[in-house]
Amino acid sequence: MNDAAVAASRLPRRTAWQVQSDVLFALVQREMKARVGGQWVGAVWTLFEPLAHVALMVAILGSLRGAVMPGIEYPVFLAVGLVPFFLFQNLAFRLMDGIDSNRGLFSYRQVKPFDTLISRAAVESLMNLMVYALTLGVMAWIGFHVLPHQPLEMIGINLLIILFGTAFGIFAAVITHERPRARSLMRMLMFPLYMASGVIFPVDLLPREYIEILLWNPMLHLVELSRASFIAAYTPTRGINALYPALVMLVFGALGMALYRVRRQELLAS
Amino acid sequence: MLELRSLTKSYPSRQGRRYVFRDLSFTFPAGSNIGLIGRNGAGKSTLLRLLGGIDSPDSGEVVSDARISFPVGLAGGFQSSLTARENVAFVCRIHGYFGDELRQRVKSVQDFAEIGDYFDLPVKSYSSGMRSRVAFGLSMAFDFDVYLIDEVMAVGDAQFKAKSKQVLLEKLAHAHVILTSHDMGAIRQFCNTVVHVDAGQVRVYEDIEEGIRAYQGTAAKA
Repeated sequence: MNDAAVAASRLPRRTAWQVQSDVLFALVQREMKARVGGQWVGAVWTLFEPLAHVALMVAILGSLRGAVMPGIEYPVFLAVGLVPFFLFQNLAFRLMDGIDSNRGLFSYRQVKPFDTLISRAAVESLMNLMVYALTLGVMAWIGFHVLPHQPLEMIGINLLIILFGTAFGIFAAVITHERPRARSLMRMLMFPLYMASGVIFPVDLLPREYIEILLWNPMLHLVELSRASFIAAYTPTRGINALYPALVMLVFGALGMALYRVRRQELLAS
Repeated sequence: MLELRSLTKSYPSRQGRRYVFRDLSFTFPAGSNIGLIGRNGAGKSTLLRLLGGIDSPDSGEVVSDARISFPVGLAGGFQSSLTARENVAFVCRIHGYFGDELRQRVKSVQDFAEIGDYFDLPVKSYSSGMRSRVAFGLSMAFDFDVYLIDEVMAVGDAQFKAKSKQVLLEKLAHAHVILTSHDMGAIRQFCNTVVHVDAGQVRVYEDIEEGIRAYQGTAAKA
């Protein structure tokens, strides 16, 4: 090789912004392949899990509901509460494991743990929104009414859930890094959270003093708001608002990123 | 240009912080192939990680305008459920190669590795030798100014070793190497300067043999 050829084949000089976007793009592609490719059983399960869940719940509880919520189809009520909750849960869990499962990549200087978290959040959000569309599509085909009553509000709420899940996931990834066993605890806590978020029943059925306690759970607000934006006849329980989950999201996000900044050395080390 | 400016690096341990380097300033001699030698735990690998930007110092900085490689022969970044082709493409992308340039580089790694159809099978089905072949080929697919090598020269069978050595020597016609090794043969072969790392200090020896003697002196003491 002569000198000109060597100069031409040298790595391109890139701006910091280019490096960042190249890394995120490459990571998103890699995550997609690793997530979807390979085991088709996993991919099919990812796509149909919410539908299976809805079908099971309808089979168990469906007949009871007609009287409780006149004018509301219980399967739709379930789906528009369940899928957003899963969106949050999947983001939280996938991000929590995100740093550890990409550990080998940090030997490339341009890849930092935060990049893996952001790309995971992007892939997971995209996947879950596709699952949402599929779930609603199948339900429409069966004959349910699945057109959102307030589409813009619905999009807004889902974006808020994505941000909430991402913020919580970053926080969880950083605090469980030193003690991976805390992750099983996190996973176990998700079930009570699911029950307390009114995913399978309307919280309005509970006595008011219990509702007041449950209102501390930001996911309850998001699930209820998702339903209100979707079903015209649905009125969320008193005290539901978007501001509270948004504030909790900011707190988790700020804490997570601050801890990340403080611990960035340890997070990198293998 | 490659320079350490009042670099301090420590790791927390159960007995308090362990300092690997304290306020170390040092300029690597320009245009040399450097062998980093020192006893186990002297800080060679830490220094290499700092140079590679994998680890960052507690204070001070590593200043350089050169394109420094990732550790040569690194296989830890491979995702085991993806194929070698997909893993190699990923590394090309994070180095800014797309489209035709990317395919061309993937092809070069494939040709170098000589693992046949396995190139399109998941990495988890590879033997460790096959993994190293892909990993070494991947490191040689990019033209860096400085290659960082941490004790990996001894992979593969005789034929592959000879080929790796030859490719590396070709690269070194236009680039430089910083190599850590306990194998003085490798140091003599690739390097023209020795940097002896000992007790948080570094000393340059333009004369390799003198450096090796200094290292063997401390090794004998210990």
